[in-house]
Amino acid sequence: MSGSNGVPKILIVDDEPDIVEYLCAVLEDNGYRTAGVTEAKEALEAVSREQPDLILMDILMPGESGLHLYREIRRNPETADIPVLIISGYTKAEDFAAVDLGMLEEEKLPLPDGYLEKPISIPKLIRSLNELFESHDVGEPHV
Amino acid sequence: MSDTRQLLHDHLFDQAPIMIAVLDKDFGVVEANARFQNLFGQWRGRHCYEILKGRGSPCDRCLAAWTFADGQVRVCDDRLQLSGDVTSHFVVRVAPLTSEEADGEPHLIWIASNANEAGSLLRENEVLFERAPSYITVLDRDLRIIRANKRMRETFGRAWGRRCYEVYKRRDRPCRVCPALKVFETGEDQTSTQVGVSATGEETHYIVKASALSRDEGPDGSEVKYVIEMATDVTHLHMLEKEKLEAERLAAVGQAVAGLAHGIKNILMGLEGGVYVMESGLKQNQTAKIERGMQMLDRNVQKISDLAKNLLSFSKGRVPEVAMTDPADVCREIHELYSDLARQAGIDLSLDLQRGVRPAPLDAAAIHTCLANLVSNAIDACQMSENKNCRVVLRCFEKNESLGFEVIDNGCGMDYEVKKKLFTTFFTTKGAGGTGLGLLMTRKIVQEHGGRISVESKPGQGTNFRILLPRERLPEPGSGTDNGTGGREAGPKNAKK
Repeated sequence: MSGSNGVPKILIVDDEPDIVEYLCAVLEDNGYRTAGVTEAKEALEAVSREQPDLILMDILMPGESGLHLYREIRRNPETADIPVLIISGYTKAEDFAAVDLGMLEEEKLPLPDGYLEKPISIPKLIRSLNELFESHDVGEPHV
Repeated sequence: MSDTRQLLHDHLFDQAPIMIAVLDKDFGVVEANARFQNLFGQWRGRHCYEILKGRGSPCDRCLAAWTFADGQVRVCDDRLQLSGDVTSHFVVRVAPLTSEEADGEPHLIWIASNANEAGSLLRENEVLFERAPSYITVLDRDLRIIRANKRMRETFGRAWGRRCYEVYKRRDRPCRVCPALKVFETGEDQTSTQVGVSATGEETHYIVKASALSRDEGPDGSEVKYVIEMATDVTHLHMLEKEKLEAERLAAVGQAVAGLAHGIKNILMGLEGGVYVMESGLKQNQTAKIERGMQMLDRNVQKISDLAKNLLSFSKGRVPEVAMTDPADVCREIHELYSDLARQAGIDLSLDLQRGVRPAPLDAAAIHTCLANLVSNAIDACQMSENKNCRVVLRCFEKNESLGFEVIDNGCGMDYEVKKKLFTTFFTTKGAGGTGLGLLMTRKIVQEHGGRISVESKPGQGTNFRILLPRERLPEPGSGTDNGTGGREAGPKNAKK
């Protein structure tokens, strides 16, 4: 799916504009192409428009939550295989309890491909991305 | 006089409505009255066990034998055989009979009376009254205690002849709300919750029910002569309730502190981002990027400053000031405060004040903060919504002895995940705009008033926040509620904002 020059594209969804900007800058500096949205309800449209190779998203956002977005991504056959990395202000266990990520198992939807707690360690983020791309065989970042 | 007495004795023996017999030490009946003979038949030359039990030998557990042995008077219930093989219940009394004419031979006087249903009931009532695990008193029209049961005497000390308010409350005049006076006045049963002082000086909480015990036909018709007050001690429940309230308050503060770390994470990341973008701009010599980095730093420094201010006011708090407050007044203040803001945003902010909502002991400034938070949230929710005809309604009402407030909007609403997270931790969905403290603060205030806050919401349709403050759990007017530091402020203060 990686578009021009085989450089993977990452879509960042977070209601904090500063975090979107930060992650875009980091990822671009690390050779990825990026797109960012700050509202969950714009995210679905962005997914089909940008055709990202990976989605980096917050799980708790105003209005429609990240969980809703995640479900929609996984239910749509065209986007179901895009790796999703969750970034959250809470720990994974807390999110599971509060956001009912456990419900995904009941719906037989796969769990997110990775989980990073804010504040995000940049080397860890890059490492996680590289591992995910390797396992999904999506091309190389352009450094 | 002594003739009359002798005459009376002679007649009483045969005419008293009881059965009397005299026994010798072999349990032979040596004398009996006419009633004994009528009921149990021929007695001369026979033993009591033959006559009364139809036995050929003395009973295994024999009252008479024990009394012969120790000279003590004994009373018991017994089933005895009447002539004609019928048995019936009796109360039997056995006592030593000492007489000079009895030649020094020991004798017993045996007396039995019919144990009829009224007698049994009477005794049951005696036991009920005396042994009931409640405080029971009978009061006359002067509020003097003419009977008090064991538990009452044990807890409150000497009661008989004293006035109820002296004994229960250590007061020198009747209580402001007196269920007994109300019963004397109306004849109707009354129930109320009271706080008394025990003989050992401890606060005692009880629920008392007062009922008319007897009526007299006076010149103005029937009037209640005596009132019986029956009270259940609920001191333990009251303590539990108090401890629970305390725990809820502490939990609200605890959650705020625990959640603080989460709130800081987003800001920290914003700051890291600002530094990163600025450095990256410097490296790439891009002025625009440097500026963006600077703006990010600015915004997040501002956010941490706001957070610190809010947090201080949340954790340190102000001393709660409780005074009788008209809830409708607080609502009107909020309406006035936000009506301009709402109008500018094209939102219809209206008031719905139910008639007859009574003043209540509230920390008015705190309730003001509470409602301001909710109305401000509702306006934000409307602004985030695509709905063009947004409205926010602030309601004040009375329901089931609770004072209620509601803030209803038809804004963007929340889904299940957001709702669940609302009060549990330091949480905001407002991104740059929120600190995550507003609702925690709101909940803390509601809990300090002994109430509950709940929320109903549907994404895209709107939200309804409801605060219910049970009147019986509201703080005392003129006293400070505990602010979680263990301190207590007292004294009437005007808490109106």
